[in-house]
Amino acid sequence: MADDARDKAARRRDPKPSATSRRSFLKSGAAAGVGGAAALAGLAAQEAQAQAPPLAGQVRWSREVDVVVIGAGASGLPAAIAARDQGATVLLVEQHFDIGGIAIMSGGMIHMGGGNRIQKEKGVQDSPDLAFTDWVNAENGEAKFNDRDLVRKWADESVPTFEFLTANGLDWDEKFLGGPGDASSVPRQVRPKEWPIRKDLVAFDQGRNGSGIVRALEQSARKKGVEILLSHRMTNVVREGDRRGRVMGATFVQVDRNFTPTNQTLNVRARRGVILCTGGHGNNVEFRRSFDPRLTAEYQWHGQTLAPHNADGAKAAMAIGASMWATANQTAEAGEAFNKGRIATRDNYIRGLITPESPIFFRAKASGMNVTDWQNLILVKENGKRFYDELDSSYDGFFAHAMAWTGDPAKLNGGGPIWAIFDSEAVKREKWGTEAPVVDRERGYFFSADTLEELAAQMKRNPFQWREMPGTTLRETVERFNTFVDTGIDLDFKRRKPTHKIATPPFYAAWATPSLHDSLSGIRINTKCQVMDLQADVIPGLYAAGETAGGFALHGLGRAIVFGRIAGMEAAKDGARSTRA
Amino acid sequence: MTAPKAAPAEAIALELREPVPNEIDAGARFSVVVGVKAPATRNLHGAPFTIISSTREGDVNDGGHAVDHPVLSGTLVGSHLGPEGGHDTSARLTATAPEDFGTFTWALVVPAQEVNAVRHPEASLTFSFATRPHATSLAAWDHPSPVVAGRPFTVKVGAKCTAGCALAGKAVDIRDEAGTVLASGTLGETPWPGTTGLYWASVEVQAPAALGPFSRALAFSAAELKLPHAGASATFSAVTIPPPDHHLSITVVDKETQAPLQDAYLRVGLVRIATDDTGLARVAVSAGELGLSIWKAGYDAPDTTVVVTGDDAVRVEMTALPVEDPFARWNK
Ligand SMILES: Cc1cc2nc3c(=O)[nH]c(=O)nc-3n(C[C@H](O)[C@H](O)[C@H](O)COP(=O)(O)OP(=O)(O)OC[C@H]3O[C@@H](n4cnc5c(N)ncnc54)[C@H](O)[C@@H]3O)c2cc1C
Repeated sequence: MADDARDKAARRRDPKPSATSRRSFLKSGAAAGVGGAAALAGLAAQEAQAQAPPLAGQVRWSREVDVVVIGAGASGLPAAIAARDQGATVLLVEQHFDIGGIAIMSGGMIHMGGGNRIQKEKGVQDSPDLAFTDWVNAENGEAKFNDRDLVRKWADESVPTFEFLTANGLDWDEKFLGGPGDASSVPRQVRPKEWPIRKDLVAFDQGRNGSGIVRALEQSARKKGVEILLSHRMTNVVREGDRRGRVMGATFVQVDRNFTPTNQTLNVRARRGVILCTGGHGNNVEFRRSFDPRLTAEYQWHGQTLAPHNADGAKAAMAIGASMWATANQTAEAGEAFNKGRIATRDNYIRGLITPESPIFFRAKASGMNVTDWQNLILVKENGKRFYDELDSSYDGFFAHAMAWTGDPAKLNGGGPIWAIFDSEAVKREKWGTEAPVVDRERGYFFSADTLEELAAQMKRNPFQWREMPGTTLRETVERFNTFVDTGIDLDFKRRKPTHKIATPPFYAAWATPSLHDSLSGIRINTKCQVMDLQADVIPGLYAAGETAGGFALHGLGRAIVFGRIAGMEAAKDGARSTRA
Repeated sequence: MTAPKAAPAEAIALELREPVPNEIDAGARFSVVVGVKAPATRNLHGAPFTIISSTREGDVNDGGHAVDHPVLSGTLVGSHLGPEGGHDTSARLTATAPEDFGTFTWALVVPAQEVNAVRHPEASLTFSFATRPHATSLAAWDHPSPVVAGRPFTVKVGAKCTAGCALAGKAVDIRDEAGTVLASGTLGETPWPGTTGLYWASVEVQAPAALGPFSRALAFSAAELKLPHAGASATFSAVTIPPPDHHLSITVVDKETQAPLQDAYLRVGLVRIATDDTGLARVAVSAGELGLSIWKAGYDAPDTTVVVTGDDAVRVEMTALPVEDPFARWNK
């Protein structure tokens, strides 16, 4: 089967509850395999063709406000508040049944310096100039591809954003100042305390301080009169005059708890601006493959069961002419783009543990096993062969080899599922539970069997294991590895000190396929967060922030919050259609 | 008197709704999911069916003659039919594959009948499959490595039949590289704990006299089982060492706190051992210079050597790695 068809077939069988994973928005082969602006322009054109947004005249508006913010996460909440602070009427629309985005599950460490109060109190010398210089460092992979105008804006707006968050109720963890980290030369990461009300959390007892950002901002937004509409997914942004004029508003469809659309639609006219804060593209297979063709459907994205980043913002913007920006950041393999995660569940991001108490557990299905010692297992590909030193978690080690071709002419792109293979002694050493809710047997992300041959035979139940793993190969792989344990020398991959044999039945196979992390590139914005087209012209009335926007490879919250606030302020001031409510 | 009016006729259409596997374990139960369509008759509950196997018997040189054996009969009722009953429904029939080894063609026959005043002529559907011997597979575990050259050691061996046949009483052989049977274990009555049907035995076998790595092959032949079974093989490995003459007591502690470290995995020469809850491991070794390396997740210690001249005690300090290492970059 051709790769695209194989991928689509796998996705059809993928039971994960993401609406977009079942729906590819591009016609086959969309620009995959080529990088750069030209290819992405091609992608934009195909996208426009595949899913042309309605013409302004075709839309019947059911609501009208000054500013519509789409996505209630790290960038959307500050955008909504900042717009409201300027006197605009604001509707904040979110597809999930709660606010927070993936930010609610984050560690809450906001990379945002320039000399804020906490930095000063801890004696850290920082300034906007230093922050700027760090993040345009020509020798740093996370800095060198950045749009320096955006970095300058971030550096200048970091302290005002810290003050903005303080004024909107963040309860800072005064003891904490993290970093330097990434491209920074001084510690800049501040974080609030975890939100104290347990029922408002999605992840528990693991320092998910991001809840302290989004819940505080939610409270402030509601108090200030931001209207929040949940369970509605944006489907299009509508542009006036044959899709060349000003952005008029956006269309939405109501979705259920599994993000499946109901037939309720809503069209909201935005007098001053539409702000796209829908997160990145990690959960959209074809979109992410435009940056890296290896990223076929077997790779999961770390927020898939919480607040899927389906590239909706970027798609809607590109359909009306937006350009992408600083695409090198996505593939530079310098920032947070991949993750070696937990095992035995598809939702396996190492810091995204979802337990049965969580309100989204029904989507995650299992919490997975944390590996404390990778000596307890080997990792094999879908063909039953080891492929690298399992103790290595680097880009060049794990990810490059995990995504390498497995040798099947029927699947050339993507490295296929990665399986952790271990025995019952490893289960004892790690004190792993081997049943639900820890592992996901039901959907084929965890198997056990009396012998290795029987284990291999079962694994075809996994939706991404496209061919049967040869049982003899798996057995021979394990037998060979066991000889390395005898001698202490891994002749194949030089793993240090192979320690434990895999021998005592029953045997186990647990999903250990890499998980995708940040989107580090997105649509082009200027320093006012206005979305721009390929001619570098502003698309009037359209704004973007957070992972939806490109140009700056700063990981996570710092970028999302700083630019979210700017987008809100600027959209509210956008005069073209202004009628104050 | 008027002649009774003939009931209207309608063919029943039969089709396979799920493919019958090309190969089925001999003697195993399997499902045939058949679609039954009779548009005018809204209810086929109660319709009889038979599955007939055609084989050739008699003088094979002569081509033999076809003999039909019914292998399953019943009625398309109850659980055989979808809840909607009637036309275009699916019936799941469970049959047992022949116990012998070969290719079979079966016919599902729904005989001519009248339902709700509609006449249905006989309908049939054929499908073929081959029976295969049950797959078996093996495991070997719980043997020491290293073992003392030329001395006996014990290994557990187990065999499993995919179709779940009881393998108690059958033998697993242990062979050397040349194929000579060194020992044989008779599988016990109870499967190994935690398995669904891995029958096992504890077998004593002699280590080779030569020093160094060796491997042994397991072989299972199930010739005498009632149903055909494919044989299986597997290997296990170990290394041999000379007989130890001294004891080393190795204590592993955290360099900074000096607290004992449990479950630190030591390799002294070729001997592997873990520390107990007091951080201690007692290991039997022979005199000479031996490499000493330790693994404990979250800690590090340089590899070193010990010179063994008699019983001795060694203390090893491990340095705690930064808490999140080696996954620090993902700790956000
Ligand atoms: C477990 C975890 C830990 C992390 N820890 C940190 C950390 O400590 N520090 C850090 O800096 N970063 C961290 N991050 C990353 C950080 O949370 C994200 O980069 C940040 O939240 C991105 O902000 P955003 O607004 O772009 O996306 P989100 O915060 O995810 O918000 C986007 C919102 O848009 C919604 N949406 C998407 N499409 C639509 C649509 N069509 N219609 C309506 N709504 C839509 C989504 O449901 C979501 O709620 C972490 C991420 C995870 C998963």
